[in-house]
Amino acid sequence: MTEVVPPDHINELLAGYVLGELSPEELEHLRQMLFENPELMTEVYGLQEVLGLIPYALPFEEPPFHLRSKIFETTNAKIGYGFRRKQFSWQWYHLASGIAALLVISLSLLGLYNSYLQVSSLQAKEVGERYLINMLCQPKTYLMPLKGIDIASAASGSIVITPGNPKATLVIQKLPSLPKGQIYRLRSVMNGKKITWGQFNADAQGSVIVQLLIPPNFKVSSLIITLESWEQSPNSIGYPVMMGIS
Amino acid sequence: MHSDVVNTNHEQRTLAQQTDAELFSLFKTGNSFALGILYDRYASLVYSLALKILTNPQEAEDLTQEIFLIFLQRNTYNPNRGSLSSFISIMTRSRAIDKLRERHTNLKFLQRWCQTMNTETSSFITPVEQASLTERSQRVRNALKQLSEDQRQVLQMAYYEGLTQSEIAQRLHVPLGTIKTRARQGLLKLRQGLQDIK
Repeated sequence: MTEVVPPDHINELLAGYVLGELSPEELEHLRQMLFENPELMTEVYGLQEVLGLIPYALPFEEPPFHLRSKIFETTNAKIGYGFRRKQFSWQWYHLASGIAALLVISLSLLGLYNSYLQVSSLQAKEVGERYLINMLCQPKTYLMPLKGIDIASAASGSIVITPGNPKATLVIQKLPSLPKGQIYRLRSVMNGKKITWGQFNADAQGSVIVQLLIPPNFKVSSLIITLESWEQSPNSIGYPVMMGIS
Repeated sequence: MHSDVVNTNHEQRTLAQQTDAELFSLFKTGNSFALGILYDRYASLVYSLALKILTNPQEAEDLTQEIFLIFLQRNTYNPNRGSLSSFISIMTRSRAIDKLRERHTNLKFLQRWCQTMNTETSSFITPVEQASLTERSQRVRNALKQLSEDQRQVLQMAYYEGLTQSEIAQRLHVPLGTIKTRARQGLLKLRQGLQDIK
C-alpha cells in the first residue's frame, strides 16, 4: 500500500522534477506517484509553463532588422515550401505596367538605401541590401513615394509594405535630424481621423530606416509626416514636413 | 493595387487572431503570412533570451535563426502539453546553455594558450512595441518580485547561467539542501502568481 504523501511534498517534488534537480531516490518516488496519479502531469506541464515564462521578465530586445527575411529565405530553401503564390490573374496582367514602374522606383530606392548605408559597415550594407532586394522582389510589395515640403523640401523617401509583414518599412533621405525633444510622426488620415503609425528621428546624415506597425484600415494615399515636440500628444496636429505622392 | 494591399492586410489581421497551433498548421500548408506572424510573436522573446545568456549579439542572432528553423522543420511541438511561448523559450534556453558550456570549454582551452582574452561585445537595444508582450512582461516581473531575493537569485542563476544547484551552492557558500528548497519554493510561488497566464 502506498503511503500518503503531504501535498506540499508532492508539489516540491514536481517543482524539483521540472527544475531537473531531483535525486535518484526522489525521481523514483515521483515516478511511482505519477504512475498512480497520472493527473499530476497537468501540474508538471503547468510548472514547465511557468519556467518558460521567466524570460518575459527580461528587457526585450528586437532582433536585427534583416533576420526576419533571412529566416524566410532559409525556410523556403530548406523545407522547399513555395510560399503561397496566388494564381495569375488578369488583374495582374493589367497591372504589369504598374509593376514595371514599381521596379524603377525600387531601383531608385535601392540607390537611396545604398547612400544611407554608406555610413554603415560593409556587412550591414550587404545584409540590408539583401533584405531590401528580397522585400522588393516579392510580387505584392507595395511602395508609396514620399516627398518633403517646407523645411524638409530636400527630403525624399518611400514606405514599403510587404505581404507577410505586419510592419511597413519607411526609408527617407535628407530629412533634417531633430534635436532632443522633437520627433517625426508618420500618420494617415481615414474618415477625417488621424491615425498614428509611429514616431522616429533621422540620423545625423538625414537618413531614416524604420519599421512601423501598420494600423488597421489604413489608407496609403493619405500619408503625412509631421514634426512635433516630444510632449505633444499623438492627437496633436503637428507641422507637416513630408507627404505621400499618390 | 490599393485594394490588394488592404486585402492582404485584412488576411494578416484575420490570421493574427489565430492560435499558435493554428498558425503552425497553416504554415505547414505553405502560408507564409502564418510564419510571419509566428516570427513577430516570438522573435523578440527568443532573441532577448539568447542575448541574455550568450551576451553576444551575433551568437544570439544565429541562435534565433536556429531555433525558428528547428521549430519549423521538426514537428516536436505539442499544443496539448503547453503553450508555444514556453516551448520555444525552454528550447532557446536549453540550446543557449549548451552553447555557453561549449564556449566555456573553448575558452578554457584558449586561456591555456593566451594569457588574456577580451570577450567584450557590443549590444544594440531597441524597445519592444507590442502591448500584449509588454503586459505579459510586466506580469512576470511582478510575480518575480513576490519571490524572496534568495529564491529569485537561485532561479535566475539556474535559468540564465545554466548552473546546477550544486554549483549554485558552492558559489553562494550555502548548503545544497537550502538551495534546493529555495529553487523549488520559488518556482511554486511563481506558479501561484502566474496561474492565469497562458
